[in-house]
Amino acid sequence: MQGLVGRPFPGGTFTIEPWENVLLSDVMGVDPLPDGIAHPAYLFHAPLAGAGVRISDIFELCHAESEEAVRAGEYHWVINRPLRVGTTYRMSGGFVGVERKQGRRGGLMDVVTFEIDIRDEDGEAVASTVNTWIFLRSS
Amino acid sequence: MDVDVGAPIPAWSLGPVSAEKMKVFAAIARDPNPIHWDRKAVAERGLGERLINQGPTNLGYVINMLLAWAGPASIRDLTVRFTANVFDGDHVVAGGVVTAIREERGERLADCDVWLDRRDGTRAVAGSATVVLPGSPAPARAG
Repeated sequence: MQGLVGRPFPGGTFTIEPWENVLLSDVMGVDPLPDGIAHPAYLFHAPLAGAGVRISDIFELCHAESEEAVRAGEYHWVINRPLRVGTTYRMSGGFVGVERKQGRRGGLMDVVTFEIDIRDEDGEAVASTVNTWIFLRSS
Repeated sequence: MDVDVGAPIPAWSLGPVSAEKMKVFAAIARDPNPIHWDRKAVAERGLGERLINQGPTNLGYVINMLLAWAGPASIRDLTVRFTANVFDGDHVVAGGVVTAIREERGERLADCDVWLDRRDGTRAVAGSATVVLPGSPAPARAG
C-alpha cells in the first residue's frame, strides 16, 4: 500500500454538462444555482472523473476487501471560485498518503488520502480536493 | 450582511431522503457500491433494510445551507468528516454557527462550524467551512 504514495492519476479533463448539473442539483434537493454556477457537490465525482479514475479504480488500487469495507473519512475542499456549467476543467492529482491504523474497536484500517487539483483551460487554479477514504482490513 | 461570532446559520432541512435520488447519484458518480441502490445488498451486509445515502449528498445538504445563507458563490473552504449514515426515509437538518469573522485579500470571510443531523439526533456530518460574506468586494486577480 505504501507504494501508492506519490502515484499520480492519469489526468485529463471534465466538462460540466447542463443536463448533469440539473440532475445533480435535484439529487442534492435544490434547483440549479443561478448564473451558471454548478453545485459544489461536483467536487466529489468530477475531479475523479476528470483525473481519469473511477471509484472502482480506487477500490481496486487500495485492495478494498468489499464495497462496504470502505468508509469516507475526511474531505477538504478549497474553492477559489465556483465551478461553472458548460466549462471544461483540467484535473490532475494522485495518492498522497497511506497510513495503517488501529481503530477504537481494535480493527485494522488503511487510511488513504488522495488530492486533485482543478484548473481552468488557462491553467488558473479553480479548486482543490483532498479526500481521505478508510479501507477496513480483516487482518 | 451583518454577522456576529456565535450567530447561528439558518437551518436547511430535507425529508424524507429519497432512495430514487441515491440511484441517480450512483449513476452520475459511477459509484458501484450496492448499499446505495440495492436493498437486498444492504440487508445481506447486516446494515438494516434501508438504502444508505451517499456521503457527498449528505455534504451537499450542508452546502445547500451555506449557499442559502451566504450566496451561490460564497463557499471558499470545506472540511468535513462523515460520522454516521443517513438512510432513505430519514429527515435531516443541516446547521451551523459562525466561529470567526476575518478579512483576507479584501474579502470578509466567516469561519463556521457546520453539521448535518438526522431527526433522531445522530450527527451524520461534522466539520467546518469558510464563506465569503455578501457585500464583500471580489479580490483582485493576480497577474
